Amino acid sequence: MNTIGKEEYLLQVKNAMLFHFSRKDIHTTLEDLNQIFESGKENGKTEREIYNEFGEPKEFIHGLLQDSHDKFMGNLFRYIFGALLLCVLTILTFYQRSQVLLCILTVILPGFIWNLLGGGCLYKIRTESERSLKRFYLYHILTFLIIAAEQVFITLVNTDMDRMAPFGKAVYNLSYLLLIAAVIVMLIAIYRVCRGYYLSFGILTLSCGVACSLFLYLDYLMRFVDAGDSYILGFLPYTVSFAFSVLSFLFHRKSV
Amino acid sequence: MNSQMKRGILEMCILYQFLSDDYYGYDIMVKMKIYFPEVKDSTFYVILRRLNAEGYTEIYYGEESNGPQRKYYRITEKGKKYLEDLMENWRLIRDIVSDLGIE
Repeated sequence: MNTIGKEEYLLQVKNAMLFHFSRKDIHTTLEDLNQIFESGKENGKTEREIYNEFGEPKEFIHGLLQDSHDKFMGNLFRYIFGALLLCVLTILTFYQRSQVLLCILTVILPGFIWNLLGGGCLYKIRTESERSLKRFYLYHILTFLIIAAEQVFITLVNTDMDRMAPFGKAVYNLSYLLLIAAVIVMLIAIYRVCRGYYLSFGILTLSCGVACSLFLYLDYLMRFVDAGDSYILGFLPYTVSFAFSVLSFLFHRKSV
Repeated sequence: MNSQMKRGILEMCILYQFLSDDYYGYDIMVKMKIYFPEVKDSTFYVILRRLNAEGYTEIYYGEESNGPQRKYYRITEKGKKYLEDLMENWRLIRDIVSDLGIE
């Protein structure tokens, strides 16, 4: 059996964790491993003995990933339920378009419900740090605010077409640029989530939400008709996020 | 031993150790190794990590005369409740299995 020193062991663990865990988690794990090696040495063991008792890096990483995998399975149902509920509520929203307040409530509330039910726990499987979890919630709240704002805007424009005039062509062009940017960010996020890097999940939902909102807005401007028939776009962010999280799960499972 | 079964049992055993005392990572591995010599330390570490992530244990840093600070684990109220459930389940399984005549 070939053995390696502590430094190389830590390096191997670090490399294996890189795409799957947050920086803070990696740091904590390496610190813990360092302490285990040091304590072992204090008890008169050689690095080789500690290595043999602890197990190979590959085995250790496999254990860690297995753990996240189990957590994912435990949370999957809650996540699917949350996503489905959100889709239903979002469809309902598009039939209530005439009332601004109702619009905001029906967009933001399901968002929070989704977060509580599934989004957060899906994300938790890859991280134990509270701070990144807050950032994740922030991304989601931003997404919902953007979608809500877009809905309110369309509702207002519907009531009074003249309000459109001062915005002019600049807003129209800017929207196009933003749409392209959002799609690029979204593609990068999709790639990262598929690699098992679930921390990009928040950005994926955000960019998807922005892209859909802008698309809906541009679509509306181009056709100058009521965008009520584009309601599918409203819940696209969640559907896409959901589909990719399931896909990435399947993808990830193979790689373990 | 089947890995799912092993992990469940190890979880209970590790948590049970914390009822009597607080331990740091290496300490608990040495202790568990006496009873489960064939299990690698990394398995214990992964379980320790999960117990902590779930909030069944909490971390505090102990004062050391020399060397780096040690990270101690202490069982929480939530952890005690969870351990009770685990032990309840374990007794149930043990009774059923012995009723079946498996010693």
